[in-house]
Amino acid sequence: MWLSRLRRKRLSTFAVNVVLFPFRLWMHLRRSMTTTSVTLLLMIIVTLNIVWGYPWVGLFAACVAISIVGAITNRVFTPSMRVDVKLPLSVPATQPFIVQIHLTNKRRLPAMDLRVGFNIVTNRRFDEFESRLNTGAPLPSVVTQPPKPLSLVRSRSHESVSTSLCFAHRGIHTVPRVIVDSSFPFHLFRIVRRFKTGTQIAITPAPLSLAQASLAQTMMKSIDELTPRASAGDSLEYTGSREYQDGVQVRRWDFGSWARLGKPIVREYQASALQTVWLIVDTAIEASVPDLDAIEHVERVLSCAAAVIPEWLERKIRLRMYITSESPHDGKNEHVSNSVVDSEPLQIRLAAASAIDHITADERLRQMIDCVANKPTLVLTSRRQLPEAISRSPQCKVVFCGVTDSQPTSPKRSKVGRAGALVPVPLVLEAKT
Amino acid sequence: MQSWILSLAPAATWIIAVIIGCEAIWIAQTFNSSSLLLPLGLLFSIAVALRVWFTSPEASSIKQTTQVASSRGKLLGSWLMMLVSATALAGVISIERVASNTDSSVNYLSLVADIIAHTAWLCTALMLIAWPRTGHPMMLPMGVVVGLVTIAAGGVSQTLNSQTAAAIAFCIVFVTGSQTVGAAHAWFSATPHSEATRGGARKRDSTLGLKWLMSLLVLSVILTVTSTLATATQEVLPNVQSFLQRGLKDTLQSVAVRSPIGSGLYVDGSAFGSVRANVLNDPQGVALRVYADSTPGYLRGSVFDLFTDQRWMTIETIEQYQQTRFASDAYSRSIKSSEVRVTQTKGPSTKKLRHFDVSLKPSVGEANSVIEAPQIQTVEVHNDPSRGSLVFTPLSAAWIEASTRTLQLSGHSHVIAAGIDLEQPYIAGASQRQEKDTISEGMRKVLLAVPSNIAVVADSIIEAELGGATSAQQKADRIRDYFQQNFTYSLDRVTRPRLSDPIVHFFQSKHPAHCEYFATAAAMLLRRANVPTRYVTGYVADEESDEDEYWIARNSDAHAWVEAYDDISQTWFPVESTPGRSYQTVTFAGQVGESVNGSSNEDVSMSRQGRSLLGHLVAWWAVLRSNDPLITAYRYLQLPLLVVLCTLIWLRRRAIHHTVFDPIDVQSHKLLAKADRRLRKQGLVRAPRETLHQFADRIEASAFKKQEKAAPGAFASWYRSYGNARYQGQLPTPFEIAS
Repeated sequence: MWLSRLRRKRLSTFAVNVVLFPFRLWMHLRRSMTTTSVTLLLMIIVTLNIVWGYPWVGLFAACVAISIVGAITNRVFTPSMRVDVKLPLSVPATQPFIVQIHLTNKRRLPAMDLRVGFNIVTNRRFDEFESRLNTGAPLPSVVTQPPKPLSLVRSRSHESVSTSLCFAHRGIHTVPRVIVDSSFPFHLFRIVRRFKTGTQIAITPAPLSLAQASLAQTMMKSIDELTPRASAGDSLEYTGSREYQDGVQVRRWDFGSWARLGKPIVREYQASALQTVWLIVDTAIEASVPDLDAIEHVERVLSCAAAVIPEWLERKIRLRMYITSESPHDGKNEHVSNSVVDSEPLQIRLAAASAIDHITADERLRQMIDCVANKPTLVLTSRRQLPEAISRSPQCKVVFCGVTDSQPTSPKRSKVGRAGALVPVPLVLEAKT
Repeated sequence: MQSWILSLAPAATWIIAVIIGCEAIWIAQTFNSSSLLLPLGLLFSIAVALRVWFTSPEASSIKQTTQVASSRGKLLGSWLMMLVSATALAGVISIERVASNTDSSVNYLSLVADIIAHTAWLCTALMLIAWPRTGHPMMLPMGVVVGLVTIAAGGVSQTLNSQTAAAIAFCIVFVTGSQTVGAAHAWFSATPHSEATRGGARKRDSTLGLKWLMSLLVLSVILTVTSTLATATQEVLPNVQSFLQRGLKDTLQSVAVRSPIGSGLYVDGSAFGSVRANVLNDPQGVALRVYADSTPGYLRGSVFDLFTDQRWMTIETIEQYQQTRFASDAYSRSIKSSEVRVTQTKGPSTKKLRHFDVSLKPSVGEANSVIEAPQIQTVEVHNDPSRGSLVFTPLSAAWIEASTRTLQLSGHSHVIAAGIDLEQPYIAGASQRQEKDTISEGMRKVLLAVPSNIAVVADSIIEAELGGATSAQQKADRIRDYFQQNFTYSLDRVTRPRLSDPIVHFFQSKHPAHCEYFATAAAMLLRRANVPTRYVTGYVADEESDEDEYWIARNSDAHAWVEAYDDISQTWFPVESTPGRSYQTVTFAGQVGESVNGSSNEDVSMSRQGRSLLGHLVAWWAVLRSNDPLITAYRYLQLPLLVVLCTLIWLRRRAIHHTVFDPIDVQSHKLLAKADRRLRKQGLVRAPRETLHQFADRIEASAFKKQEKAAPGAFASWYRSYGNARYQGQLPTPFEIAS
């Protein structure tokens, strides 16, 4: 019973395949045609005039032979690759970065006359991207370089190609599919294969533009005011012992433990109480702000946060960050930048941040203020009205990064373009204590 | 890897330049324009060299040119400027070429081809000057146009060898150009680099040898397929040509007869006035050359059944008759030849001809009776293939020898509808005895059909002229005499009242007319006199050449006449009603009929007897030399070339395999693959991420479904020992020995 059903199913599949074969063949040919094959096709049509006595028998035969053999060979040499990409964990938006594509040929046949790149429909150039960035024109969401040529990948061997990518918008993005096309033989036809990379990349907020430099300096002054207060009168505290590692100062050696355990032990000290600063990033928008402007407000707050983080880390200050789009109890806000030079985890959290409503944000901010207690805290927000608990906290400094009424937002058409691009808008800072 | 690409760009320049140079030589040879192309070629070479050496690579690649023209307006402007330049060039070239061809006998089609070829070549050259390092993809279509036009203008003869040689040359040049432009363009569009094309020291990537070998292999396959396709096309084409032309003949001819294109073709006669047009167009032009022992006379080309709407038509082209059963006997049939006859041709011929019996089938009674073999007179006709695919034979042709495998016969006795390669001559064996033919009732009705307006006039003439005539022959004689005595021949254009029928007007006014009027009118009268008739067009070959070698039929010898059917003798006989003309055909009087089979075989046997081994070799060499050397060389070398290329690729692959991989690794993988295969038959497939020990555990836990010499445990222990050996870098023991 099941056998006959299987046979019937196979038969029906076979019949459908047979019926669809000409259509599929035509679509395949259409997709794989190049200038050369189009020329050949036109020439075949013209040379068909041999039926009226034109002396193009040889040319007709040549064109048909080149087309048929070329198409079949191109199909036979279809590249089948295992694709791996090597790229950074996070990259700021609008900043190009290098991606290495590793290709491993899985077939017994070599892959020849290849072009390797990313499968992006709007394959715009970088120079155009930059000019658009400067002029405020809508940006395409992803930009890459044109496909890179690769002559040969032997059977079962691998090759690498370097190319660039650039994302216009913040977020956790999936790396586009890698496109590998082969135009062997003689660039007559082009067969295209797309391979999923299965990789994501965190696109952190775009850095503040040069036009906003003076405003950024104003923000830094506010940070300066906050930082000395945090470090005054604090001392180092013993936090524990660990095994010796090269480069640890001799004065931290714990000889007693060494003698007891039989291996070099050093003491660890930290000045957590003195050098920890809280950064609270408020991604909520005021109810009065239109939806279209909301994204702009949030992005500006996140850009400010992205600028603040490295600045503090450079000053060897331990930073704790809370983003209002994250739940106060999910443990992320416990993440502390232990290594004072590594801002990447914080930047990735900024990349994943999203806008929330002001009621939820207020609730979360109240909880966080209670949690923060008397630690120095910098709150970055685009809202004028914040919970009273923040205003009352003496250790809390609020920086307003929103758009003032005197500086209206950009025209709607340029704000969110075809690809949902953002336009850099001058940053206005207003410090409240 | 990139060093190869770096070396490509300058090579691309010179490869494209060489291809363009070859194009120039070909054009110059075809159109005799060396005086124009030589200085232009020199100027172009200097310009390219200057562009290569004094401009940066970035500025001379397509990609960069488009980037330089940053705005769309600028880009559009540059393209517009190029278009204007090309148009201006075409104008200048046109003037120069027209000035060079001021001869009165200039062929305008050839002149147009000349201008197109030169303009396309110049555009290609300009593109190389504009983009010297990469070329431009549009160069390929331009090159193709040059090829098409040059060949159409006579750059290559229509023989199979020449066509195949041209095809092979085209293949090589086209794929070389495509590869060069494609690769250079792909490279420059991806990463323009100043270092790429400065001509510095470049290392060639040795690993790319495989790619070139593969490319050569594909090219070799392309060439083989090309030569096969060319041969097949040449075989099939005549049949296809006439199949198409038969369907469209009448319609096309009525349009073409008034155009300069149509007047260059052989006389067909569907449209009223087409024979006259053919006679008046280049009257002294030679249409046919005929080798025969006696005057070949009237040679039939086309036969028509029905006169309607002032046009003669064949029954196959009329839809209403296609649906009736009686029309089937007028339809064409194809006949195949299984034997090669070697009747020696009197004129030049390069191919063996095949024998086709085109005689009508004898009736049952006659088939059983002993018939004396009729005398045969051969008529060898040499056509001009460029003037169409019509075949001209005498009415009494009993067989045909022609260069083809299949012959298409029309329903009208012995008329060859299609299939003959007219590059070669064909020989018709004219029988002394007219063959019997039977016509069905339906066909009889068609052959007696007369338009009603003509019938009224014709009936009155018949009444007056055919009194007492009973047989078809007598009626035909009376009607012939009627026209001979009452009418005069003239090729002058006839002016007749508007909307009047030309034949009715002809009967009524008895104006001087040409053969089409007389033939049509005679056919109408005979049909009204109940004699089935058909209208025939062809040539009258009755002029001997200066050397008395052959007979000539000129354009002025195009003619139309009538064939009438005699019910008593069941034969067709010619009726010549044009004043001043009398029907002629091959004569047999006093001659001993040539037994074709006997004579030809005798000739062959004699020639063979007199030929030694050396003679055979000399003859073979003569044939070889007379053919195109390129195609001959390729014909004999293509298979060895293919084998050599395949061997080279295999050797290279093997060598690389041995250098890249450790022999122990290779051997180990083979052993593992062998064991995997055996287990796969038992439904045990090693998963990609499964270790050998894990797999061994799985084997032990499972039972074999099919018969297998070794137990699962033996396999499991072998996999474990294999894993251990590989871990230690040793060659594992094969499964058979281990178990």
